Amino acid sequence: MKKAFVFFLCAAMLLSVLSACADKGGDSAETTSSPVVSTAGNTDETTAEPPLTIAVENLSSNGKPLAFNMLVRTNRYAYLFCEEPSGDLIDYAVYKRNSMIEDLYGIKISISESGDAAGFSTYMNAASTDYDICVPDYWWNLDLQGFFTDILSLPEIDTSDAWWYDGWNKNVTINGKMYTVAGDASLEMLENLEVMFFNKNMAKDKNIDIYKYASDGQWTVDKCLEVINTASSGLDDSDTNNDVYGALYDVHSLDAQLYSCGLRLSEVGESEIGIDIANSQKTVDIAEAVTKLIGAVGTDYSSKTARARDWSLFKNGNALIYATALYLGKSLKSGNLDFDYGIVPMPKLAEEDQYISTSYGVSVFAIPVSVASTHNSALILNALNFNSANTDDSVVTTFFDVILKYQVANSPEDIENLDLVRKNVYIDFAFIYDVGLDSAIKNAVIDKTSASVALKAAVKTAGSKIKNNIIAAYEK
Amino acid sequence: MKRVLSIISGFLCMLMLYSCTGNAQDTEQNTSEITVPESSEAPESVLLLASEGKSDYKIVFPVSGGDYISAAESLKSRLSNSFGINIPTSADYVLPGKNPQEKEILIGPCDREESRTVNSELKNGEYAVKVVGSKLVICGNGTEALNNALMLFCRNLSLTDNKITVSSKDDIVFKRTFPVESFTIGGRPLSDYKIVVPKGSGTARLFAKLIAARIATRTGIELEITDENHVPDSCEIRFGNFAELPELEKNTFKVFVTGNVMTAYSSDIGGLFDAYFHLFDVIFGAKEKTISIPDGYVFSDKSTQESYEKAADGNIRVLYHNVLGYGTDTPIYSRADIAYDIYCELDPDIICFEEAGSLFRSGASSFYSNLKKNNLAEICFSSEGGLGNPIYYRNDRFELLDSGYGKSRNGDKGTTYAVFKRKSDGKIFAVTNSHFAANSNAQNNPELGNKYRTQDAETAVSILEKIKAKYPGITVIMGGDYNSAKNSDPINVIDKSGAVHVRTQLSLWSNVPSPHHSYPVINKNISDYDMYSGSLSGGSSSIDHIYFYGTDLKPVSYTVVTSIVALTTSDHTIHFADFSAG
Repeated sequence: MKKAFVFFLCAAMLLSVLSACADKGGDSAETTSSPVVSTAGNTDETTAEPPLTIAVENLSSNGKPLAFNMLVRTNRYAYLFCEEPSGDLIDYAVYKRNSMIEDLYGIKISISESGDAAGFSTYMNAASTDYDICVPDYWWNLDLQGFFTDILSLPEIDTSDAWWYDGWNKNVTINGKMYTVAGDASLEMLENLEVMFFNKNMAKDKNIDIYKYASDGQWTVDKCLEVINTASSGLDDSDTNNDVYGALYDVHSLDAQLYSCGLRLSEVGESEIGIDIANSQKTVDIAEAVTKLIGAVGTDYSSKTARARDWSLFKNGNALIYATALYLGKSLKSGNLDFDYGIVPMPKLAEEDQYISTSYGVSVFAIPVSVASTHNSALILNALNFNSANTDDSVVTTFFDVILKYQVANSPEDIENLDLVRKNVYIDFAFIYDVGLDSAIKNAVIDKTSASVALKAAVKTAGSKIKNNIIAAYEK
Repeated sequence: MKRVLSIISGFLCMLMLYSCTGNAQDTEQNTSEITVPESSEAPESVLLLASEGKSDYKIVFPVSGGDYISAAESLKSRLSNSFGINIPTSADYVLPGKNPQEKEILIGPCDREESRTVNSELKNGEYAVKVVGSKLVICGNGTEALNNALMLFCRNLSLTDNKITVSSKDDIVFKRTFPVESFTIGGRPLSDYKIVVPKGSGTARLFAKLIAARIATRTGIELEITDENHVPDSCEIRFGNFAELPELEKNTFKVFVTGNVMTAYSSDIGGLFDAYFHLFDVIFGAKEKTISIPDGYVFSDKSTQESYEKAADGNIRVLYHNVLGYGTDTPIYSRADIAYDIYCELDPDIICFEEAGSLFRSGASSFYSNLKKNNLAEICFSSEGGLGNPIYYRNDRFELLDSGYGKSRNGDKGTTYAVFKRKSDGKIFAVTNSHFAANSNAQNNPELGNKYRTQDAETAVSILEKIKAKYPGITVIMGGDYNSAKNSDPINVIDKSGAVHVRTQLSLWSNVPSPHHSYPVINKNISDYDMYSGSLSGGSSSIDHIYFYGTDLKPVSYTVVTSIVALTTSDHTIHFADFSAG
């Protein structure tokens, strides 16, 4: 195979990428050792920097493109693969990105689908060469199964480049190894950012100015609870037809609410993962505040996931606030609602705190150890992520700046809040690897039991789980 | 009886007239279409689209995507396949702090001044390819027109000296001639107008779409439809029964012009059809090339549509409606919102739906919030299989004493029942709502279907017996879509139970038509429903029924709503019975 390395110069991509590079980590909401995900593209363009380059290699053979197959989650790959352009802007951006990579690298991209961890494991155990890249849910913890190549060992990928999500990736760097990686091609990171959508008409009727609370820094859990109590009605009788809730939460937005209050369950260091922080007084304070919020009569909490919960209460005007992920925005926009909606960040614990966001999860990239060519996989994985956010019509820009800010957002306040939400994203190691800490505090909130007691017990067992299940897997 | 017959025959005449006069699917042809090269005194402007296989241009399409993406891709493919030139595509969105690229090929109504200027000159079906400054504008009024513009542009493209150039001398402006060349209302040109409908009125909204389509076909002018409040001095065609309009005499409609506002409304929802038809046929269907509707114009007349009154004081109105919710007849919200308008006018105490399944529910969100706002509370046993046939009751008028659900087999849509006590006088009665199996629920086997329906009827009767035993002496109103006509096995089961059909009680089998009719039809011009123009069959073929058992309540009327508006809501129109408590 002829391997000709050329440099791909893309002037249009240049400025934003370099400034994002320079800004890496600079948008941190916190200054703890736990990293903050840099998902915010910085579009400053004040200086002319040298052109950014990534390696391009023609992988075709005798003019025939190399087949490149990605193992993806069933029905969850819209941002990864689009066979033909449709009328949807995201689909089109994906189609254009992949077409460009196909042309540049002489490949033909295809996908195989599997719905769950068991399916992915079966394929990986078969050690087939059919899958050049694997894109499993982070939550399945397939990185602990020995299926994947250490990303940090690959010369084709430098995870300090701007197109990789440093804040997420540092949480999955253990013992100097990284078996999965997230980057700009992981659009779910943005889609799954948690926010609060609210019914503007109902808020106006109840004389509640949520935008103002948010912009004045007063959007706290206590204020949110006050708003919920004001907005809810008809919940004290057996007739469910007149029920109006102040807020709807689900298992993911509960998680987001805790982290938005400044919850820190772990500290990821160069060589160790500390979890003593989990059982702090601040954690207990956060748990107590969120318990009041979630347990309020006017709050409808569903133990289902963000995608599974029924949101007809909000859709039909029977709830003021819906705490959920940004991806719902498209459904709201096209939902023929008979009310206007607004967007604000999840409330924080105290007025002096910053607003903090979290993303409820992402499908991560991995390169199976069984691939035909680790080099080819790494090259294309790098290209996929590099080309996902660097142009004005890239997948990320289309989703965030065009779909969300230009089409879903209903007002300048929404646009400001979207920027705010994207700017301050925090991901905790204890969220990615649920060693019992994250679920302990969530259960304490739901069951209205002592978070302190739950976390004291959880910290004891979490330490050994981290050592025996996670670190040990990375030491193999 | 004579009055009822005259209503049916009048209705059929109206249907025929409506069908003959266009059915709003406006098939009228605009006879002459001409291509006009633009006459301009400006110096020739030449754009270098590509040179030596490269291009500085970008193909830009509106951020709304859809067909515009296909158009942009087709141009990109043509340039790539025929000339080997790769021109990038992009939506017209400009990131904050940035400016649009200087060299752009603008496809469709892009957010650029150049596109707006060219587009503003195009009427329905017209298109243009024009050089404007450093940009090439390709646009058309309508998808087909845009495709025509692209096709013509691509056909004329050629490579000369390894260059592709486009000159302003080759600008194309395709104009059509329309039957009406000049149209003014109150002295203002029609193009200054917008159509305004009352907030939340699905009926007025659908009529407005049909009127706009008619105007576009006749004049080439595309009018905006809005439900915004009146803006002083703006030119408006106000269509619908706005709250602030003076009350009209029963069963009439009126169209009038005051200054630069034309208003068309009626005394009731059904009569809006006549107001619409007057605009469709008389105002915007006039044969003259120059039309002027002056300030002070007034037209009013009797409506061709039957009007419906609220139930008399003390009577209880129970309404049944199969809402056509199991198929893919979309947009569902359109039919649902019209149905809601009619329910509001009829003001029923109890509403029973059939086919209100998940497809219908997800497609009709405002319909459900409106029901709730109108104090209509739902009784539904969705987890047991009764999602499609719930019962709604006015919870400000009635107290729910009991409710339940029964079915005879898996997959059976079953019977929902409820027992109510009227708050004003303590009167207790029960209502059942059933949807018996269709043959399509029985492997399209009529024999098996009949067996299933007979089982369904037995279930409905067993529920009747249960209610009778628990609440002796009360009246039980039974109804729904039984998918069975008079004298069939399932109906015989109901008849033998002692329940009496309201048509039998009121001698209305032959005079009141069947609620079931053919499907509503989509008007392709508006991607929404057209007004129903099919026929109705006689009452004896009806598969929708209302029975009653007991003597505590007595039926005083049974009505099938035959206004064209109501017939557009589903393949079953609304039917209801009023019961007196005397």
